Amino acid sequence: MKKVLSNRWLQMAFPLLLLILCVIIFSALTGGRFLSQSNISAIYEQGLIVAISAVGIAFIYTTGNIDMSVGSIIMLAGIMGGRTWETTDSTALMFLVTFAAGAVMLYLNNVLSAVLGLRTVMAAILMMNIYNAVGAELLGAESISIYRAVRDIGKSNARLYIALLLFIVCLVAFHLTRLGRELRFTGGNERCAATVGINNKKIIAVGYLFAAAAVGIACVFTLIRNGNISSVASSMGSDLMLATVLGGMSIFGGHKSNCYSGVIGAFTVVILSNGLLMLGVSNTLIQGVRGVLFLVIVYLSSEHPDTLPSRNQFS
Amino acid sequence: MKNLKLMKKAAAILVSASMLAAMTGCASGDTDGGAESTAAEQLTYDEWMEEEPAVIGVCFSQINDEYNGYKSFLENYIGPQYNLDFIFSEQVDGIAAEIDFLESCSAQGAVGFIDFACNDMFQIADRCDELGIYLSVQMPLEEDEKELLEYDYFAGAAYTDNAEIGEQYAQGLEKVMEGSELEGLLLTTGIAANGNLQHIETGLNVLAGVAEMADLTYTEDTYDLVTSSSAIQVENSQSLPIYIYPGSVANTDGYLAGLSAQLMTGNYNVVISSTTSYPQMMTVIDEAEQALGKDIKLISVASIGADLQTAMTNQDSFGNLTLEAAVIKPGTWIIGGLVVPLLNALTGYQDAYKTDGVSAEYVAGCFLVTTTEDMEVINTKDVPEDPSSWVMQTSNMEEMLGMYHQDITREEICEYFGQDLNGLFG
Repeated sequence: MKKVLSNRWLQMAFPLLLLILCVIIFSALTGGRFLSQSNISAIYEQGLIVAISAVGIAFIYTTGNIDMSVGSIIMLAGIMGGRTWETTDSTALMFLVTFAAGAVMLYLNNVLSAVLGLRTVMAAILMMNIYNAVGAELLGAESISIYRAVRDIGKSNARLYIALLLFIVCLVAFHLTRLGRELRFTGGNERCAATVGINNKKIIAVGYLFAAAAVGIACVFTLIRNGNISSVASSMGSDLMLATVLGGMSIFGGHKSNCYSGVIGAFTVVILSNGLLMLGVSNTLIQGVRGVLFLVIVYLSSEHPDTLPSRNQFS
Repeated sequence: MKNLKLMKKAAAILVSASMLAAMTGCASGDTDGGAESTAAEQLTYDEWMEEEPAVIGVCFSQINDEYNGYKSFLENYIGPQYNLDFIFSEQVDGIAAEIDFLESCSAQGAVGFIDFACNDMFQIADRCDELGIYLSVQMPLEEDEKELLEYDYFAGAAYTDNAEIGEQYAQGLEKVMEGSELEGLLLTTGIAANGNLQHIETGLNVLAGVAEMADLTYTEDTYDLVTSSSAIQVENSQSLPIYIYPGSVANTDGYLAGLSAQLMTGNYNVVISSTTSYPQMMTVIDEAEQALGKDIKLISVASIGADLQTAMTNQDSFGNLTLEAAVIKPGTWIIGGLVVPLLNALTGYQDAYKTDGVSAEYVAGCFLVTTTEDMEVINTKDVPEDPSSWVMQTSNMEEMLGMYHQDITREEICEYFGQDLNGLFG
């Protein structure tokens, strides 16, 4: 059993197999209703933003860093975009400002980490509080409805094409280029990577560029999806961690990292929730059922080394 | 090694291709609609009961005692009586969660949607129209939202009269302050900044009541004060401390901490809550009373249930009720009013929920409770364990359903719904 669980190919394929299995099981139990166009569309809509963010955030996780501020960044970037729209009545400008604000704010975490010498996770937590405070100050208890401005864009396929393009670019960059190899090397052992000539700070900064672009796009997608802007930050930070782990990748990075785990995990979460709901499981129970399933899945897909870890993550 | 690399590249491309293939059909194209729109023919009660149960999604803005009562009313009383299956949301704290739930309901074949959250009315109504799901909302419509009444799938809105709520607040303040001096008022305005009419009316009436009570005038327009999106001190001719505190426990981070900080200044001896967050606020107020050694009175809007009973039968450290006055909405009378237009739409009685293509807003009255004795009467209502205690009985529902009165009109239903309910409360 240990040998089976430790099989590298099985570990790689397990999350995808699980996703497919969930689809098959729910389809069978719901008499095919699970595969209805409306449900598939709902799954796509509900999973897309997390999936897009996860593709980019993987570049950060791979290096052994964690960024929890994505939810706050999306909130504040949305507010900036919304205020721009209120002032200019331009949807294009709103998207541009939102993308730029989201990307810059995420990249700022890396800059602060480098300048102040903090771990990225600490810089992100500190900035998260600042972003939340700024958002509350800018918007307070109000909300901005942009639904009519984004309604038609939401119905088009533009988001799908952008998401696919981003996914392919990230996939190629992460798995088929030197950048990806150096990211994974840095995540596996920073000191060793530095010894062979990899500039860790530079490679993390480049990784953050990809993450910033993905999060910027996610900020715009959030505007389109919600059609409404408020100062309440979402739980995107923890959602991303959950999706990544569920997709079979460790959030501590390393050589086994990949950039598609979060995509698989994001849709698996939504499929599980929707499927359980369609089976008549009460909403209040779904959280508990999901939690138990996640524990099982994470246990089955994670490594169980016999010895203590040899790499100090926090040195 | 070379083969391994080739396999990795192939796997990466395969994953990309499978994602492309899987998602291509997802975003575009028309989605399955909900059930068909208004039934082609009008169904009698017996004919309706022979149909498959109609699935209705119910979106809650918060999960508390009040909403648990509504859930019991719908699931155990209305559902079996009218062949309805309800799907209930968890607490919905924003438009994203509300949309997710609506889509999930649609995927489960829902033909109706009762919305307590109403984070973006236009968006929800548009989506319901696209999905072919009849929508009923528990929210008064603002002027620019009245066009929603003309949407094909907008069945109606049911709520308590905001102006009356505001007046009851002012009366409650007067009663509570009999024999006491108003030292300062902390007014929580909920989502008045977002245009919530109930919260705006509450704020306006309270400020007007305070002005009369303390013989003062305000330096700014009271509408601007009440709809402020940030907390402010209200300047007035008597320099009476009046603090406007927007937001709510559900949608504002650190709300209770901010409330506590203001109370601890000792400037206020009255707190007026525009929302039903009084159970959470009572704890904060009690802490301030003990720390400051002064009585702080709380007035709030409330719905019938265990929370209200507890608040109006327990005493604080000064021997006063923890909730001195409550403006009470008529509980399941409103909930039944949300189901009525949905049922009329689903059973094909167009004239019962639309006149000239326009749906209705069903408006009911409210009550002011200031004593434990008043509460004893209220306590006998809307008790989940006793179906006969529901304020809205099936005998009342029947008076508003086309299944029982085929020629009933929207106006007649509005009149019945808006009747004086004092007889029901003894």
